[in-house]
Amino acid sequence: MIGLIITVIGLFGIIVNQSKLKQLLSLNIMALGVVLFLIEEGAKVGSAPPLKGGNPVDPIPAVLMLTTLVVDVAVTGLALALIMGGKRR
Amino acid sequence: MNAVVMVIVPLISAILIYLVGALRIEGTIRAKFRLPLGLEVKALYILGAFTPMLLLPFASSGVVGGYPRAMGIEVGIDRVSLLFLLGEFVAFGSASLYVLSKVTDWKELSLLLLVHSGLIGAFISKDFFNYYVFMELSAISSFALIASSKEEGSKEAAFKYLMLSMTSSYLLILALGMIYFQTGYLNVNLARDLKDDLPVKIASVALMLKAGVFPLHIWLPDAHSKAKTHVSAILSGIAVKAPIYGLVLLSNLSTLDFLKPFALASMIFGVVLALMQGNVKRLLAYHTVSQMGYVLLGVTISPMAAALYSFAHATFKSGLFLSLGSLVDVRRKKELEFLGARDMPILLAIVLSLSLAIAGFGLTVGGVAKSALTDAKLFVYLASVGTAMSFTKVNYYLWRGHGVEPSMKTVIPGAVPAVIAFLAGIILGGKISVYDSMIILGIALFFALRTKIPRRDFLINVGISEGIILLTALLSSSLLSSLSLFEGS
Repeated sequence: MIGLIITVIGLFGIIVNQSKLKQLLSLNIMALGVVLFLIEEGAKVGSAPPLKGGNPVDPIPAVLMLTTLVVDVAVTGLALALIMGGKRR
Repeated sequence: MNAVVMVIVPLISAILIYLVGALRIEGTIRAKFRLPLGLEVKALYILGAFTPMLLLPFASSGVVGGYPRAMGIEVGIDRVSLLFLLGEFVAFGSASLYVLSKVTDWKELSLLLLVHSGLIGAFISKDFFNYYVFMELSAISSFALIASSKEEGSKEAAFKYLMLSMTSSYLLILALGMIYFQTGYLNVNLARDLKDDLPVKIASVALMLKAGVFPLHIWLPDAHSKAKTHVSAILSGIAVKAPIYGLVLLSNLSTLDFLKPFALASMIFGVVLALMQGNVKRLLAYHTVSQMGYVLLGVTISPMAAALYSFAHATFKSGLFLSLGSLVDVRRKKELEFLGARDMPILLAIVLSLSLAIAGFGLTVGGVAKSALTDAKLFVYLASVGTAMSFTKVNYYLWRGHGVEPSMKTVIPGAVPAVIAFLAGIILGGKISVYDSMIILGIALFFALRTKIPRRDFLINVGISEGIILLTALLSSSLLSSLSLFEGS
């Protein structure tokens, strides 16, 4: 549930902020919400880390979450470059 | 050979181009004579861009690595994927011919190959998450490609596209997570029996934004008109079809009939706005909004109709952007009044045949694809009349004036899609029908209303915040309808 709430907060942040930097940070918050949602739901199955042995949690949501993080980092870098490139002119 | 090889070749070439460019392996002789771009970079680009087309006949479906279906990532080429792939090859191949004659920056070639790889990867995947990753690869590269244009406002356009596209990406992955938690699979063939269609609705609204369908098209006219010519051709021709392929995959899970009003609105709105543009690239961009409405209508009918229209649109829209863009690049002006080309019969013939294709002339691939849309015929014909009218305007200005002529090298890439549009139409069994009179009606309407059509651009500027408000509003309305349906059943 907390993941969905944070996602909605991120969406709201993009709507109310007019500054590009703040909009980008809100986008990051939204990505964080998605990551939390995936981990939270995936952890309902087991209790141990998804390694060998024990009663592992579902590993697929963790993989989805990792990819989301990678995309988030790449996009943040590109967006910061775009914001700076616009200002230098 | 597994189809995934088609994805790996351009990916490796992109990385090699980056290495060769960044490490300056080309040596000092080239720097001394100021040769614009290394031959090896171009050779690598040709290798990466055209090898997948040669590999296509040998590609086979299957799970990557030979794992069982439930564990591995499945790729496959069925008839729907094949049409999307062919559209990609036509659009990207002809844009590559154009870019090779004038490129000066190796970074751009590397990014273009990443888009190529991402699009092929998206069109062959039969797995929701794999599809998402590859679509994202092409989308992120295209943000950078739009921003690399020298034109004023291209950075803002790229930032707007980035924010709106990424917001919907995160919503999409949220929806994919929900699909996984409800069905236990991400494979398209295995994920069945959704408990409720909530995730499908979230995902389709998110994909609608990425495809540029009205009312979520607000990033599209800026991004597609401010990019360079070959980038516009790729983005407008085929990059917007990757989200449509996602919708086709989603239509396996649940019916997507609730998208039909948006499709019809998009068809009419795009054409009306295109009629009011004087800037030729903006005009083509608004036609993309309209044509995406046709494709979305195809999604609600059958996957095959969507794939056929996507192929048709990829063919003629990339051709139009390349042929008219070669003129824009020479004149350095985008207004129709400055784009007369009376003395260039080849360019006139190319634009005329592509205009016939986009207006749905029976012999061309556009007419064949339009006859596959068996639903909402009235709207289809209404939009066809508008399209014919708008392209009569383009041809009218083209035939009227004259000026600096583009070189033959830059005109030929536009001819390739024009020839393919007619050849594919004849192969697929297109014939002249009564409905082709719509085109004549459109031409007549243009000459009747010529003085009333505004000459200045009619611009609608919607910011990022307003775009997200629209997205949220659409999302919450679809969620509410989904919840009430759920309680009712």
